[in-house]
Amino acid sequence: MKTIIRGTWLFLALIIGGCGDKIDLEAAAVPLAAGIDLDDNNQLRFYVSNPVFGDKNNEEQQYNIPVTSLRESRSIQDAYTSGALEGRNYQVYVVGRKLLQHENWFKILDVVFRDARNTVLDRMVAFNGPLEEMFTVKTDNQPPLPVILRGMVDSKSKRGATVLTTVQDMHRQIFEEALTPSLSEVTYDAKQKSFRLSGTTLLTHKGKYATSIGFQESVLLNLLKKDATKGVSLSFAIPGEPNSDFFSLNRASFSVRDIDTKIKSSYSNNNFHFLIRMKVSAAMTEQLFTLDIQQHADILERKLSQQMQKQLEKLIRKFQKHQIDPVGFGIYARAYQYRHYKENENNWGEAFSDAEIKCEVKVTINSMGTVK
Amino acid sequence: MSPFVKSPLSFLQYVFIIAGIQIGIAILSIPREMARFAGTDGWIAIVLGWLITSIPSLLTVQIMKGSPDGTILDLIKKKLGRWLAIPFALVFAAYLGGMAYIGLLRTLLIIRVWLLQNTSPFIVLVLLFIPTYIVTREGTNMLGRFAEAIFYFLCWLPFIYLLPLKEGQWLNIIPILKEGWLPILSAVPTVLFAYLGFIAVFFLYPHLTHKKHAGAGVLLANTITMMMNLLITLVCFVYFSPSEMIEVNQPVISVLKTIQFKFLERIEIIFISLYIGLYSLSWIPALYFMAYCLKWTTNGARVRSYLIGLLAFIGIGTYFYLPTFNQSVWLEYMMTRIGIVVEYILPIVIWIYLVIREKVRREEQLG
Repeated sequence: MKTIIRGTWLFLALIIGGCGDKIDLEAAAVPLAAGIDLDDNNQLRFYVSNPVFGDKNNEEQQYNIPVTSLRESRSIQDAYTSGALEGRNYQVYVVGRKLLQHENWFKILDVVFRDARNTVLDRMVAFNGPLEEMFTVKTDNQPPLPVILRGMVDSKSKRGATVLTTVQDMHRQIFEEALTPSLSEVTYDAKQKSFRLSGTTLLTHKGKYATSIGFQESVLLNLLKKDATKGVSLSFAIPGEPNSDFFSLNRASFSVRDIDTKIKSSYSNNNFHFLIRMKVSAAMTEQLFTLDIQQHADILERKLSQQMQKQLEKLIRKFQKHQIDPVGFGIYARAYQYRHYKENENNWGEAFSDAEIKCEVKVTINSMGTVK
Repeated sequence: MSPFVKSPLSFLQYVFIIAGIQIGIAILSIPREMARFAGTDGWIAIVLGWLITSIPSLLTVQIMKGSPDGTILDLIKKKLGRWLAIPFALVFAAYLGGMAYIGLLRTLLIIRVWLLQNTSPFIVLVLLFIPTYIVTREGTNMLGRFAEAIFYFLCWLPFIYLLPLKEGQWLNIIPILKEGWLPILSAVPTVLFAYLGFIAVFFLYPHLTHKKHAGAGVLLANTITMMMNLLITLVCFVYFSPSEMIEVNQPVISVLKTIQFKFLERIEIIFISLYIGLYSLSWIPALYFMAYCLKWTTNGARVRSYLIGLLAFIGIGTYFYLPTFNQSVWLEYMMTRIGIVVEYILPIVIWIYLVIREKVRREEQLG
C-alpha cells in the first residue's frame, strides 16, 4: 500500500510541473531599452533595442513599430525578432519630447503595473528630441544604448546632477497631487556623436513637459528635495572679482560636506508661505581668485551664501512660472496646513505659483583644501 | 487518559496558532482597506481594533475557565444539553469552514496573479493540500509545532519592510486626525477582520499546559497581530502617496517590488512564496477545528476521515468553480460581518448567560 501511495506521489510530481511557460535562453530575445514617442504623423511608436548575443561586439537590433497599446505591441515586436520576445525587464524606458507635449501619456504604461510579472525599477529617461534619432544612431566604440543610458542615470543621479526616477517613482509622482514629476534628461550631441545627460526634465502634474533644468539647478533641486547625497558639488561666480577676457577667473566651487534643509510652511492672506533654511558646510574644491580664506573666510562665506540663495530663488521662481512643484512643497502644505491645502488640492500647481517663498542660505567653509 | 492531555500545547504554540490565523487572513488587505476608509489616519483604527478585541478575547478565556477538560462544545453540552450544543457546533463549523475557504482562496488568487500565471489553480490547490493534510491529521499538537516553526522561520520578514522606508515620506502621516474621528471609527468594523481568529481559544484551551496564562497568551497574540499590521500599514502609507494607496490592489506586495538588490530583481517572488507559509496558518487550523466540530456533532469516527472529506469537497468544488478576485473581496466583507457576530458578540452573550446562571444557581442554594 505504502509503495503504491509513494509511487502515485512521485508520478504526480513528475507530470504536474509548473513549467508550461518556460523559455530557453537561446530562443529568447531580451529587449533592454524601450522607447515611446509620436512620429511625424502623430502615430504612437514603440522603439526597442535588443542586444544580439554573438561574436561581434556591441551589436544591437533596433527597430520601431507603430502601436495602439503597449501590450498589443508585443505580438508585433515578436514578429521582428528571431526568438520569443521576453519584454518584461527593460533597463530603461525612454520617452520622446513629442510625446511629452501631451497630457496623460503616462496612462499608456498601465501594462507595466497591471501585469505583476513586469519589473518596475526600470529607469525612466526623457529624450530631448525625436526618439527616432536615438534608436537609429549607431554609437561606435560605446557600450550598447541601454547600458549607457542606465549607467548615465545611475551615476549622475548619485552626484545630484539629475534625478533618479524609476517607473515606480513616476507612478508615485503622478498620483501625488502635492508634487509634480521630474525625469532625467538625455540629449544627443551630434557633434560629439554621443549621448549626453543634460539635466532634469520637469513635467506638469498631468505629465506634460514644462521645462528643463541643467546640472547646477538639478543639484539645487536635489538639495531641496533632501535627496542629495553628501559630496555633491556646486560652483558659483563671485561678483566683484576680476575676470579675464577669455576665461572666467571669478569662480569658486565647493563640495557639500553636510547639508541641513528645513522647510517651514504657513498660511496667511490667502497664500501659502514657505521658508527654506539651508545650512551647508562646504569643502572648497576650486577658487580661481585670490582671497585669504584664513583671514577672510567670513567674506567668502557671505558671498557664497548670497550666490546660492540667489540661484535657489531663481530656480523656485522658474518653478512658479511654470506652475510646477518638483520639490514637493505641497507635501509640507498638506502636513501642516491641511485644511487650506485641501481647498487647493486639485490645482496645487496654481496655488503654488502664488505662494511666497523665502530662502535663507548659510554656507560655512570647513575646509579650504590643500593650498591657500 | 483524556485526549487533551495526550496532545499538549505550550504557551508559545498557543500564541502562535492564534496570531497565525489572525495575520494570515488579513495582512494583505488591511493597509488598502484602512486607506480607503480613513486615509493615512487608518493606522489609528488598527490600534482601536486591538483595544476592542481585548474584551471579547479575554471573555473567551474567561468562559473557557469553566471547562479545563473540554472544548467549548463540551462546555455547552454540560450546561445546556447536547441538543442545544449541536447547532452551536454547526455554526462554528460553518464559520471556520468559511474562514478556511477564504484563506485558501486568497492564497490561490495571489499565486495565480503573482507567481504561476499559467498553472491551473486546481493543481496548485492539490499541492497545497499535501502539507495541509500532513499537519492537520496529527491534531492540535502538530498544529502548534507547525505554527511555531513558521513563526521562527519567518520572523525576519517584517524587517525587510523597513527597506522601502528610506524612500518614504513621513510627512504623509501627519496631520494626525486630519478629517476628525469619524472616518477612523467607520474603519473600525473592517479592521476587526484582522483580529478574527481568537475563536481558536475555544478549541485550544483544554490542550494548554499552563492554563493560568491563557488570558495573557491571547493578548500577546492580539499584540503580535497589531504590531505586524501596524508596521506594514505604516510602511505602505509612508511609501505610497495617499491617493496612490487606494489605486494599488495589494500594496503589501507592490511595496516589495521597489526593493532592489544588485543580485536580485523581483524580490517579491521570493516573498510571496514565503507568505504562502504564513497564509497556511489561517486555513490549516481553521480546517482542523471545523473537522473537529463535525466529528463532535456526529459523536464518533476520527477527525481524519472528516478532513479527507472536507479536502475532497473543496478540491472538487474548486475544480468546477473558482471565485474571481472581486467575489473573494465580497466574501471577505461577509466574513467580517459574520465574524463580528460569532467572535465578538457570541462570547459576550455566552459569558453573560453563564454569569447569570451561576448567580441564579447560588441564590437557589442559599434560598
